[in-house]
Amino acid sequence: MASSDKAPDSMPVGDGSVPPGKPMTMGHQVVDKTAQMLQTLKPIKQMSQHVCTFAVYGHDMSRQIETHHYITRLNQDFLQCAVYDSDEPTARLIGVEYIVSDRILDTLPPDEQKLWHSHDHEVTSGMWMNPGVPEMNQRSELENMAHTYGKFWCTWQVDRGDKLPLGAPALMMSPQMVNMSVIKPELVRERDRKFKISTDEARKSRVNFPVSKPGNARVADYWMHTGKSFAVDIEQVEMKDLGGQKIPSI
Amino acid sequence: MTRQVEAHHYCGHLNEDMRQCLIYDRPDADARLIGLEYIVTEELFLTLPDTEKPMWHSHEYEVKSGVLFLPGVPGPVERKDLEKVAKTYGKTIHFWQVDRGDELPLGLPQVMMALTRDGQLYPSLAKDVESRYGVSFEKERANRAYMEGPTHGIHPKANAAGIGLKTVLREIECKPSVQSESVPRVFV
Repeated sequence: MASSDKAPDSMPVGDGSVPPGKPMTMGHQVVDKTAQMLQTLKPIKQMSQHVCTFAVYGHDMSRQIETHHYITRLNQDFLQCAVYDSDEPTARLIGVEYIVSDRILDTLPPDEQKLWHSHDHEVTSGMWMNPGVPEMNQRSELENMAHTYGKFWCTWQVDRGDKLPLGAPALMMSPQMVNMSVIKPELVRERDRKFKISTDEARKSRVNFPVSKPGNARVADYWMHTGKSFAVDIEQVEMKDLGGQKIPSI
Repeated sequence: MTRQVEAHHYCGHLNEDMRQCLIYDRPDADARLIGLEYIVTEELFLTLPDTEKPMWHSHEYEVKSGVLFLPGVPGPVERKDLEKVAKTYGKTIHFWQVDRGDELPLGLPQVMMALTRDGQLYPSLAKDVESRYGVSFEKERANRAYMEGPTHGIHPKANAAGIGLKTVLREIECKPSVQSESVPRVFV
């Protein structure tokens, strides 16, 4: 029915806006403001970092995107990120990334590890940046981040021109030093210009970060070891009839 | 349909016709981000390709039965919003199957279905939510009886066209190559 590596069937062009739709009415604005005043909204208030970085589609490494991660640290070894395509109020929620320490990654079975990517290069190359925060303030967090691994599902392929979140979720990869996973210089330049930061300067100051100790047969960054990557398919399931009630047979 | 989860949505409008939501397993500071949902009006839903529609579910039942509610928001304000939600469709993807005891987000994303009729929701789950939030689904059902679902009726292709969905991982050769379908080929 849908595959992350196949272009979706077409939709009307509309006026070209992504997503299509009318501007918010006063009615909805009032409901939102009321809710904001009355509800605690605790989980989303835990987002403590904004990171701008880049990601590469696992099924097509020529497609690279700038991402904005809004990160919550749940404990010493685990972070969860809501990922957007910009840092503007109009930003589109394009996916979720989970981040674990290398210690946790090593506890995962190989079939699970294959879905995760390393962050060493992404951090030390300066791709991973906290806009507006001086490098020095972030140093210990960055050193920690460099030893982590991420699992990033992209649910809205905006860069493909999708006006709405279509298709199956796509597994994303991290920037690396080799081949198509090297982030295109023009993307980095544009990012640096927008946020008035310098990826080059960041890289120089991170050059002596301690590298991750290699784990026991880690299978993360699967594509780098095997030349193979992953696509995701959403398929219809056969429904079983069980005493008049249909249940899926999985 | 045998595995059901309580979900806490934190939603924002992208415009009048579309919302995007982060989904957590609890409304607490240490809640786990388990998924996300996109919500569109019927008008936008109808523009989706037919192959896409099955991944979206209708909200009419969830709203009218009372199980979908805005904790802490007074009824009249809540109902102003829910009148509109009853006509919308959502695409929900979960990444972390906390209900099966996973301590980490393992495995593949799951496209979730919504409740679409009486008899699906486990009574114990319902009672638990009602008592924790001091709400009564029966009472809300009566308050919301006036609401209507999508103007054109629930689309036959929505809700996985009545059949379930599963996620499959497929190993592929690394791309790009000249045969790549996802990058348009440009002839100069």
